[in-house]
Order: sequence, then structure tokens, then C-alpha cells
Amino acid sequence: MHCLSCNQIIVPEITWSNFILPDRLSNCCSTCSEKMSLIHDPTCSICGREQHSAQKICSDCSRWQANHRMKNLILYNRSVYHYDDFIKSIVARWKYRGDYQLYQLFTINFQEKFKQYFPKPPKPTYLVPIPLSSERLKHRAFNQAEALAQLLPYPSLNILTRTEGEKQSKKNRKQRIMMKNPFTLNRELPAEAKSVILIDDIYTTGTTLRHAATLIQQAGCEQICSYTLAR
Amino acid sequence: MKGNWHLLTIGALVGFYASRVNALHAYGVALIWLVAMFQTKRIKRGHICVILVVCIFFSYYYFPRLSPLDNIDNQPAITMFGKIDSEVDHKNDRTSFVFLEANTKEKILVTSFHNDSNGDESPSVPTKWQTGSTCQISGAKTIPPSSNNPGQFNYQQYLAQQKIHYQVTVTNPKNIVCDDSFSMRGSIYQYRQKIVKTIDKKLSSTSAMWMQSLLFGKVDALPDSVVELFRDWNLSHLLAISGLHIGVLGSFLYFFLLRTGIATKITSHYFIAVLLIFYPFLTGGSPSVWRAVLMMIIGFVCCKQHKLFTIVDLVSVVFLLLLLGNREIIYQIGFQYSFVVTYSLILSRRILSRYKKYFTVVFLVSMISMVSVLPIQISHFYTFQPLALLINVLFVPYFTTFVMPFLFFFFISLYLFPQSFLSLLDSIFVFIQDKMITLLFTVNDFFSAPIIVGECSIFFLLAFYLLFFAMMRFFDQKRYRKALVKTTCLTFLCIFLLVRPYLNPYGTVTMLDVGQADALVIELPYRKAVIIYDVGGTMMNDFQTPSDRVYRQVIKPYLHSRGIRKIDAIFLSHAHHDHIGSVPFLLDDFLVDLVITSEYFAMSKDLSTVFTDNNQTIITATQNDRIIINEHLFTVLSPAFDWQDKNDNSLVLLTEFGSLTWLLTGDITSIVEQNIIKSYPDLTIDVLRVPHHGSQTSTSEPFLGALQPQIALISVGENNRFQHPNAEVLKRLEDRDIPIYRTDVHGAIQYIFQESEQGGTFLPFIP
Repeated sequence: MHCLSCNQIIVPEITWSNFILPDRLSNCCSTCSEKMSLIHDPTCSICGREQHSAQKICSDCSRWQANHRMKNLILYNRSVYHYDDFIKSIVARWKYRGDYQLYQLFTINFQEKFKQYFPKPPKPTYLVPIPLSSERLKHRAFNQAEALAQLLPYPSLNILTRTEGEKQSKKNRKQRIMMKNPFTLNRELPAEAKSVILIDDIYTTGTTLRHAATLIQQAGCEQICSYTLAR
Repeated sequence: MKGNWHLLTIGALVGFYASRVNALHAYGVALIWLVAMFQTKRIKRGHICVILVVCIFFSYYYFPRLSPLDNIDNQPAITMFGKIDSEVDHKNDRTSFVFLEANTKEKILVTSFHNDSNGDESPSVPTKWQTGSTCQISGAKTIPPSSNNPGQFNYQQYLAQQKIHYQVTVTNPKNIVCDDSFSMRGSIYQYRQKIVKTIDKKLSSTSAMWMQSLLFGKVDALPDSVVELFRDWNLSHLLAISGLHIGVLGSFLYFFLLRTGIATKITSHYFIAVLLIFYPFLTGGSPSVWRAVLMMIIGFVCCKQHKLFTIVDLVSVVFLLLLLGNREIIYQIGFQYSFVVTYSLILSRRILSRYKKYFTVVFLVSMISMVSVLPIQISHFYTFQPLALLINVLFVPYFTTFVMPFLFFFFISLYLFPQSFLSLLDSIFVFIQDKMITLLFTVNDFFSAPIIVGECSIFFLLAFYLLFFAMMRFFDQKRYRKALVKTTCLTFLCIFLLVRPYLNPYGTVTMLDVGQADALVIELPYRKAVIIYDVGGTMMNDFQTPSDRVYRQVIKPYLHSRGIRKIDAIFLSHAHHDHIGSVPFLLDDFLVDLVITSEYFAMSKDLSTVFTDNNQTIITATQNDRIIINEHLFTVLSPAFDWQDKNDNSLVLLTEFGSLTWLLTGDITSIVEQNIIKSYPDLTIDVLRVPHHGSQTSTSEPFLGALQPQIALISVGENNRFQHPNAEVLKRLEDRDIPIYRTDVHGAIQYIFQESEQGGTFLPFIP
């Protein structure tokens, strides 16, 4: 098997840890997986950013908490990787250059970390992947959030529609925070849905996720968390 | 399969374990393991099938077969045809080789004794006795001797591990007729003997023996004391040709080929691979040399050139190849050591790479090697030397960086340089090597503190390796706190093994089979005391010089297998060699609190010197003395006065084990027996240790009538020249319906009892 990232042959290094139980089959070689740096504890208790200060909550989140409309809208967010240059380059290849298969590089960590961060979600829990606008979906041919959601063992609900079309990544922080809610609810949330986990690729300011959460909260769901690939 | 070959090793081991222990649960565990791996997407479906096939194949491969040991005792001499299948081993008084019989395809160990003690000529072994020669041998097939005592080395099993089930002893070399025939192996072996002779001729004895043993696997060139010293200090791996030696040899060749411009980097890999294949034959082909050579050859060809295997794959492939080459190799201690250490070190390479200091790495390597083979070491030798760790840290670098390279260079010089230069190298080597070996002997004299663990069960082995594995796993994952917990568990497991005898409510009395001699070992319940009644010895073949054979082969292994370090008391019945012959050797190795003899013990000068040298406390006893050793009472019934005869002056003891009354009688004759009956008219006993190996002059009718023994024990050698036990004595016992246990028939006889229980159980070693 070859590494999807660097195309080297993957040969597991056998040590005491994987002698009896081999590591899970992966499309990512050990060199590349070491470069994709995982977020470790301690983290901000809300947005899941790795931080080593004494505060439980990072400065971004305390600003969110100050806004009483947005306060506790999302119980907590958790992310798998640091959004550093290496992840950036992979995500760029994946999303913008259309290499759909690259999601397999994240499979194992995305699943393992989900088990760790969401050990016992209440039943039933639904996943809501953040949608793309119809033009963008046509252009890209896949929704990265849906690709991630299908790795997890919970049903996905595509209840959101994105109306606005301008690229997120082209805006600065202020523009993002100030913009209008780009989502609309396209159908009712199932009545039994008490817990929803929003799925997206990247958590930058948290605005998009909170916009989506606003609608879902209005639809009657109490417990909303989010899980993203990178932070 | 690349990167996953070690899973096949695990599969093969499960198959082996399941079919040897007849444990179906092993298959269950293996199945769960395979399903779990598949379910969690750790391995491909095809690989699961391969592992299953390997597992099933090895169960079949190791399925217990009907033993070929039929009843072939007292078979007449027959004539056999076949080939010599091993190197022909020449010793001073004998020549031996393995013979492959053509008809039955059985391997037979043939030993030919030449009576060179009569003639002054050096023994003439026919030159046609060569590996590969077709021969005709007349002789009687016998089954090799098995062990007769707990803890004793089992020669039969040892030969069976090399697929040899029979032996033939030839006293007249004319009974072996061979014809000349060429064989590849034969000529390699001849070449080896030629090299060994050249070394002997050109070098001083010290250099010669080290070169022969370290480069050509002739460990018997070294004195036994050095080999034992190396074994006691866990240094045997330096003497067994293994990865260390092959590594040095390989890099030497590589350097030589490249520097002289004979070959390029890539061709030199192939060159070395071809050259190395001869090396196992040149060195006697022990498992460790095969492992190392195969690893290097396959490594050069398949890993360096074609990148087929990883390093762990390489070990696993060689492991499987060796098992397929010789089914019984898995039982050989050299094989077990070699692979356990190799796997442990390779799996630890991530841990080792975290440390940069040379000393730390050497220390860790020694530590991991030593701990990983500890259970194997204990189950074979019952002891280990904790300080061996430090000695290894000193000696392993010394051998790798000085001794081995120096010897290789020295060996090549033999063929290149004049004698004067060789003498110079010789004196340098002897000077340094002698210093180091002397140092090791000094350390042995002052710091030897072996921990005697004793025999341990397969559960200990499993528990140890599970804990060890878990510990190394946590170290590997840098979870140091959990690793430390496991280390503590491991330590407690070993401590438990050491205190085990003190928790055991059962006591034993063991009459060891020491041939025509006596040795009775008493271990009280909860190890309250270890008491020995007589420790006999034998003589060399000349019937003059005392031999430590019985002590080394029977008494010491038994005491070690029981985890005995200290002996509370030794009773010596009388001053005959077959009752006291092993005392000097015993005092060398064990702490003995007290020696008790009769008042009229004829102490020889030699023995007296041994006692004074060891500062031994000796007390003497006569009739009616009561000797209490840790609350256990022995009453002396004889001698009351000097009988003017060594045998009759024997110390006779009366004691009780688990409600049975025992009488220990030494070599008394019927006069003394009468005296005992007269002095103790009301005495009856349960167990009689029959006096004087069942001689006619003892165990008289009135003695039996008065004492009413229920069980008789006789310590007697097989086919002894005194024809003990006497037929009349046996008849007297049989007439009274007294069951007889004899060491020549039953091997060691063990009596197991509890303090409070009525009676106990007699267990003959050979049922």
C-alpha cells in the first residue's frame, strides 16, 4: 500500500505496542501521520483549542460567552488536528483540487478521537454536516463535511441549506463574525432528536457553526456540539 | 505480507502450544484474536487465512507422534547399514558420530571406545570414518539413559531433541566398516579439523582455545571451569556463535571486499551471502549460528536488494525456516535464548533510540536480554546471578570491540604473516585476555550471590512473559507510571517464587538415586529445615580418585531445583566414600550450618582439612542422644560404643515424618541390629531404610520381626559389583509382605507428608 499523502510504500514499524495487535490498516505512512499534529490536552473547554494557560476558556470563547445570544449555543466543539501548514496543504488538495480520496488519511484519527471526545452521546444523536451552497457543490462535486460525517457511526441529517455563495476563506475575521446567517432549515428536525453534533472540516472563528446551531436550536434541539477536523 | 510476518510466528507458536499441551482453549484464544484483528481492520482477509493455515499446519507438525521407543531392551547385536550423518567427534578415549540407518531412516548415536590406555600408541581411528561415508556397523541398539532423579539432566530427552532415539556402543573399532565416499559436508568438517589443528600448532594454548571456540564453535576446547564461569554469569551468549560474531565477521568481509576492490557494494552483499552459508558447517551448526547466518544472508539478498522484508519479518522468516528444517529445534535452549533475545531487542529499538549515551544503551541492551531470558534460564538451571547484569555491561563491549575483531585479524594473519609477528600478537592477546578472565574469576570468588529459585511451572512462564510484554509495551508508549506498576508486579512474581517453599505445607523426604551410594534429603514442611542424611560420591574409572559426577549430575541439580540455598544439618553415618564422597563439593556451593557424625567417626585427614577450611561446625553423637533441628527430633539409637568397624559405627537415627516412624540405618550389620533390638525392646517402626544397600549381612530376620516395618527403602546401584540387594534379604522382606522401593528400579523415591496428617505418599520417580 502507498501513502496517499507522499506516495511512499507503507511499512509498519513493529514494536512492543503493535506486535500482537497490528495497527489499523491506514493509507497514511508513519512519517506523514507524525506531521499531522494531533490536538492534545489541555484544551479550551468550549472550542477545543490546545492551550496551556491557567484559564479553562480561551480568549475567543470568552468573547463568544459575552454575547448573550450566542452564549452556550454550542456546548462544546472538539477538533482532531492543529490547523497548521501541513494540514492546510492536505485540506487544500482535498477540497480545492478535488482529491476526494484524501479523507482516508484522517479516517483512523477522526474515528478514534470521536470515541474519546463523545464517549456516550444520548440516544438518538444525529450528525448534521455543514452544507455547501448549490453552486459550490456543483463546482466541487462533493461536500467535505458529509465525507467526514459518513466516517462516524451515527445517522446524518441534511436539514440545512446554504443560501449565500461567497467563499468563507476569502473573508477576514470581522467579516465572518458580522455576516448574516447563510443557512435556512429545509425541513423539520425529527421530534426525537435531542442531541445533534455538527460536522465540519475547519473551525476558525466558530461563526458558521453557531449560525447553523441557531437554526437547529430554534427547531427544538437542546444539546448541540460540534466536531471538526482541524482547529 | 510485508511487515506482518511476525503474525505467522505467533500463529506457529499457538499451533505448537495447542498440540503439545493438548489445549483446545489456545485455538479459541487465537480465533478471537484473528476475528478481533479483522473486525477492527488491522489486517487483510487473505492474511487471516495465511495465519490460520500456518497455525493448523504447525499443530499438525507438532502433534504428538507415537514414540519410536519400543521395547528394544536386550536386543541381540545386529548389523546395520547406513551413512555417517554428523561430524565425527574425536575424544581421547572415544569417537562418536550420528549414524543414519538406511532401512529405518533412524538416527543412531554411535560411540566407539578405543582402549588406548593399554597401548602407548595414540588411538588410531580409521580415516574412512568421515561424514557421508557409507558404513556397516554391528552392535546392539539401546535406548539412551533417561534421568532418574528430579532436577537431573535428561540425556534421553536431549538426544531426542536432535531426533536421536537410539544409541550403539562399539568396543571394537573393527565392528565399524566404512567405505570412502566424498561428501560436501564431510570435506567441510575435515577442513574444520585441519584448521583447528593448524591453530593448535601455531599458537599458544590460551590463544588457540579462544580462537577455536569463538571462531569455530569448539567450545569444548575451553576448560570446563571457564565454560561454567561464563554460564554462571550469563555470558554463554559470547561463547555461542551468534549475531555478534556473524556481525563482526560480516563487516570484516565487507570492509575487506570493498577496500581491496574485489567487489562493489552490491556484489559484495551476494559474495558475503555465499561465503557465509559455509560458516554454520565450519562451526558445528548450533541454532544461534544458523539464526544469525540465515538472517544475514536473507537480509542482504531480500532486504537490502529487493526490500521484501522488514527486520522483524526477517527474524520471523528465519524462525519459521529453522522450525521447518528441524522439528525438535524448538526445545533446544540455544534456539529459545537466541530468538527470545533477538525479538526482544528488535522490538525495543524505539525505546533504545531514545537514549543517546553509549553506556546507557549497552546497559539497557544487557538488561532487556537478561530479563527476557530469565524464565528460560530458571527453568533450565534453577538459578540466576543478579550481578551478571554489570558483568555483561563490561564484557559484551570487551568481546565486541576487542576480542572478536582481534581474533579475526589474528586468524587471517596465520596465513599471511611470519611466526615472529604471530608470537607478538599472541602475547598481546594472552596478556589482555588472561587479565580479563582472572578478573572474572575474582569477581566470581567475591561477589557471587546466585539466587536459587528452583523449579517453576509453565504458568510462571506464561505469567512472566505476559507481565514482561505489558511492561515493555508501556515503556514503548512512554506510559512510564503504568510500566513501573508492571515492573513491580514482575518483581513480586519473582519474590513469590523465592518464598514459595516457606508457604508449602508439604514436606518431602527424598532418597536420591546416586548409584551404589546413599543420599537422603529431608525438607520439612514450610521449609523449616533442610536436613541431609549421607551424601555419597563415586570414584573415577580408576576406582581411586574421587569424582564429583554424582554431586554435579544428581545432588546439586536436585537441591537447586528445590530452591535450596542453605542446609541446616548434614548427618554423616560413617566414613565410607559412598556415604560422604560428595561432602567437599557440597560445602563449596552451599551454606551448611551443622555436620553431625557418630562419636566413633573415622575422620580422614583430607576430610578434616575440608572441614577446617570451611570453618565447619561439627558435633558428634552417641546412643540415646536427642538432636533437635528446628523443632524436629532425631533420636540416636547407635552406636553405643566403638564397634571397631566403620560400617558398624554407623549413626542410626530414629525420627518421625507425618506420623510415620523412620529408621535411618547407615551400613550396620546384624550384630548392631541385635544390639538395637536389645536396647529398645518395645521399638516398632513404619519405614526402614534398609541397611548397607540390602547386603546379606544386615536386615536379619529377628530385626525385621522386632521392628515390624511396613515399607522398605533400598539405595542401590544398577548392576553393582556387590550384587546388592541380596536375594535373601529381598525374600525376607517379601515374606513379610513389605513393599520395597529400590533406587535402581524406581529412581529417586520421594515421600510427601504434612505435619498434622496421618501418613503420606511415596512417589517413585520411575513409576
